[in-house]
Amino acid sequence: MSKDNRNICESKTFEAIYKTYAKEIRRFLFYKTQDIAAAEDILQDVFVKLWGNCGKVEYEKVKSYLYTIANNMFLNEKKHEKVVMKYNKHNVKSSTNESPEYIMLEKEFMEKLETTIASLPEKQRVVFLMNRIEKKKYKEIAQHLDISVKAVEKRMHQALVIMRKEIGNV
Amino acid sequence: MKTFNTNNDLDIFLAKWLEGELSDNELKNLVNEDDFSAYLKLRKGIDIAEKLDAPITTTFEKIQNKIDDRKQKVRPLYKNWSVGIAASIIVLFGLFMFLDNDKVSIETGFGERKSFVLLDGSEVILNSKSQITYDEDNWNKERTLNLKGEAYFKVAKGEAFTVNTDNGSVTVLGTQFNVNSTNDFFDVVCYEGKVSVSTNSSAHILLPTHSVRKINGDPSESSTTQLLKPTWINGESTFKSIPIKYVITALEDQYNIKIDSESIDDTTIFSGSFPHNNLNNALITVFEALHIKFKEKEKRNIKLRY
Repeated sequence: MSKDNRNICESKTFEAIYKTYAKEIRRFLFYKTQDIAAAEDILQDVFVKLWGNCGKVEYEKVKSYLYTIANNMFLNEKKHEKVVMKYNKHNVKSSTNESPEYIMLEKEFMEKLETTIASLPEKQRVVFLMNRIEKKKYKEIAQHLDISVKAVEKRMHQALVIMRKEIGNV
Repeated sequence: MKTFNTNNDLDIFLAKWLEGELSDNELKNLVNEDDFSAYLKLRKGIDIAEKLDAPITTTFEKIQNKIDDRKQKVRPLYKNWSVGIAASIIVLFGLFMFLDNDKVSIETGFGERKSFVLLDGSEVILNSKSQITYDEDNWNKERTLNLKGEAYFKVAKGEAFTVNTDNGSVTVLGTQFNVNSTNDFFDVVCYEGKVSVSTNSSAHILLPTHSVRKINGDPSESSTTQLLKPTWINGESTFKSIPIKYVITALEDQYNIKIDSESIDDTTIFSGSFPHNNLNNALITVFEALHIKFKEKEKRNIKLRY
């Protein structure tokens, strides 16, 4: 197999790499940080760093390079957070395992959830995606599909019940 | 799924809850504990799933901005060039040293600085684009050397120590002094001891902190200095009330550039200093103070204008 020697320092190649890997790196960082905003921030730094080292990184190894940098930056961030936490020891909020920030979303859980959403029955899936992705209110969905609001709510309820069953005990 | 409620919304309460019409506490009363935590996790997971799949284009713009910010901090390429040139000059010079046994010649290139010890223990620091020659065989009888350019001397005690230049000669016993003889510019500063300076037209005795300067054959015993050593030794060239054209020459020698000063008045007086490690900063420091604009017309050629 011939080696692919594309130059990462060329902005087109760089952008193509970004388009290919940005989402999965963001995902990877989310599983680590459990914080989507932090994942976004680190994602930016990872690619700024790649650009800075573009001459030193082989095109064929860029994927593992990105993961390594992402992981290192996450660890640095965590180290820093620990210091900050120590410093703020007195003002630690008392949180229960029911408060939203305490819920861990593992990689396995998210992947299961996504396949479950994709495999919802047609009726439930349409309503679910219109509500969650297109951010339509139940009333709007009802108008759009020409059904009652109650029917929309029923499908939404069913969608959640199915998901609950599929993901099992968490 | 078991529920404990008898209201008639049993088949839609999850939809109501997801939309925020039903509170978490109300849901807690409708389902068992396992289901409740599962639904909380589902809601968060659904929310994150959207975000994980959200478009990445706005983030790319932020990355571009960060990269642009950083670009301005990157050191200019030409700086590395001058280092390369300086290094090759050192190598070449090393060869010449061995070829010529009794006439010793020490030279510096653009932006280069060299310090060395003479046979009697006297120390010399040679500024950029300068040259010192002396007769090694004769050194014990007569401490005399020739200088083109600028150098700083810390002379060991002993017989008279003479620096000959095209503009005049400087003689001392044991002392520290700086001689700058570049083209028609001649400047001697005494840092320690007593320095005697004779030019074609005049003779001076300098005491510590005193200096004599001759521009275009017109000598003047000028100002005093507060410094213990010339600043160029520490990577900065300092000037006090001197026509800008000599500063331009110093810049050219330091950075190996050509400066076109045709459109400006090169007799404008300048006081100040420029660093040796960053051309752009050096140009800004010198010319912005005088309201002179500079532009790199082609590589290493800088055009000045008002």
